Amino acid sequence: MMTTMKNLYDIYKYPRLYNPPLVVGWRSKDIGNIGESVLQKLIGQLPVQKVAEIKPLVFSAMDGADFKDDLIQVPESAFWACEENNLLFFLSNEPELDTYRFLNLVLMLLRDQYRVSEIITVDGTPAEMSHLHPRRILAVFNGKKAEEIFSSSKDLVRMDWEGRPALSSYFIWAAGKEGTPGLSLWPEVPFYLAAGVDYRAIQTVLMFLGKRYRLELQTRELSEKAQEQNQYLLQLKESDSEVDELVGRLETGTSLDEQERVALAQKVYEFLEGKGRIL
Amino acid sequence: MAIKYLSEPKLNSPDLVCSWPGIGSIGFMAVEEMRKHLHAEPMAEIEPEHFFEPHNVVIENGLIRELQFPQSRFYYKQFEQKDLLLFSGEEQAVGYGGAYASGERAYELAQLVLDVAEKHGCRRIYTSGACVSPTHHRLKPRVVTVVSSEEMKDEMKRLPNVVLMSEVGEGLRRGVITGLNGLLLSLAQKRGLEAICLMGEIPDWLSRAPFPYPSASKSVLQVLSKIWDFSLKPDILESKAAEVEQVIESLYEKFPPEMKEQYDLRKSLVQPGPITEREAQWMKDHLDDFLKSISEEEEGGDDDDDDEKPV
Repeated sequence: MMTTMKNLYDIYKYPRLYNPPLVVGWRSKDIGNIGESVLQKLIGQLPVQKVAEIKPLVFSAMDGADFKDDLIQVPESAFWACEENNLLFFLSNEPELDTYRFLNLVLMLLRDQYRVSEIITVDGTPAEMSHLHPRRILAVFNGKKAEEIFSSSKDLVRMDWEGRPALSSYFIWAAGKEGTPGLSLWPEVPFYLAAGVDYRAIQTVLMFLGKRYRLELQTRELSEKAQEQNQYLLQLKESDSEVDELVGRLETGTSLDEQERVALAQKVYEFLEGKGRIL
Repeated sequence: MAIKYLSEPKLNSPDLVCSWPGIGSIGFMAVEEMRKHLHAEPMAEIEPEHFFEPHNVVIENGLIRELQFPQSRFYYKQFEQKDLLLFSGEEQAVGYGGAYASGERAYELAQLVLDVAEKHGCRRIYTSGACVSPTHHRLKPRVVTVVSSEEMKDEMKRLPNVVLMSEVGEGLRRGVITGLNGLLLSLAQKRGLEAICLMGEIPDWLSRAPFPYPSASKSVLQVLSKIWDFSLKPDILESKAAEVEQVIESLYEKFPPEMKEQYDLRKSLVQPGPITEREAQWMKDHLDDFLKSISEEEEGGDDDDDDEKPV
């Protein structure tokens, strides 16, 4: 199958956008389900239209079909435009093959179709912390220009890390090579909530984006869900002395060893799954 | 690459039922049996050279008479309410180093199948395969389903002996349907078609067996007969099932007592529900040792007539 770049995407509409910022979330099993949830909230609450799509099956291993909750999952890589707020959103499955080609295709569209001015990606990062602690947002900039543009946001904490790069890091690095400022947001997620949904972290990111782009976003539902989740965790603490002890130590800022972390994560996962609170 | 048409009937909003070989040949056997039972007419064939290696050559008197490839064929059957389009592929279009379909060849093959389906007015696609589950071989296999929309869940659950994937074993909420039986569903959904997968249950320990599992094929076939409202002979697939059952029972008799006891716990449940992770892991650990011991026994070349060999 010969595929040129042109065969790899579809343009549906030409929105009126003027050097819009782009916000990106990846549809994957990311930590705390932050990226996908934030993008879905933005797309759900703002007046948006789907304007383009990359054909994701081309970058998929094409070795079957995923399912979740008895429903077939179709990979998607779609661009959504909000003319009213001059914003562009990209919610996408992570490519399984040809990652660099995929990213270049995205950047080509951002450059030639939309002339995007800045990029923000959203992920989550596990942290050894209690669910009762506020969620800091760790930040990675792709260059000096990005630092100048984004550093006025006092809510960000610069990240230090070395290891295999996540897709977001790869993406903003590639964007930086083309001169587009990029920022990767990594809100902290208590490690024992990493396999599920961290409503508090999602709310924190939405408030950051709302402030930056002057958006009126409703986060009350997230706040209520976060409180409900805290209630469930309180029930678990009251019924399980090991959980109570381990979470108590986290609350005081004391570290856990590997075995203790695994035990706590397992217990919380099973408990919240029983309450229907795990993806 | 092309479709070779043998006939082009006018079909009335047909649904497409597809299958390729997979675990236990469950879906493939169900669809093939359905084709024969309904005397479905051949309609078209996908030209195989682009997708498959030839598996046989016939040479007579120094001349090549025939080069044989796996066949990928469409059949049709007309009913009063809604017609049926069947697709049966003898082999999956395998990517490099794989056992199941993957990569561009699989993608192109699946797209061709859907092109034919849409050309004839199909709006719904069924694929069929296996669901490896913590069940017992003496229980009637259920048909496990995954669908493309919420509304279809209720529709499928109304069919006898059909359960959702989330209701099997430890409640599998996420997973993958491998190969073309899965890929076709994704691509169908992408085109706006309804997509359903019907998977016959097969006990986990039999998923690697080199023989088919006809009792699960029969369960799938029974569901398909309800959807298209045709009657099935009660003894359909019976002789094949009996033959395989004999082999399975002989293997089962060789289970060490402790393993048999654990395994038989599944039989006591009317509908096997959640097996704990500990039990599943125990079974898996002992199963590997058991299968290895059976394999070593067979390699030993024992002349004992009581030994059964897999079909």
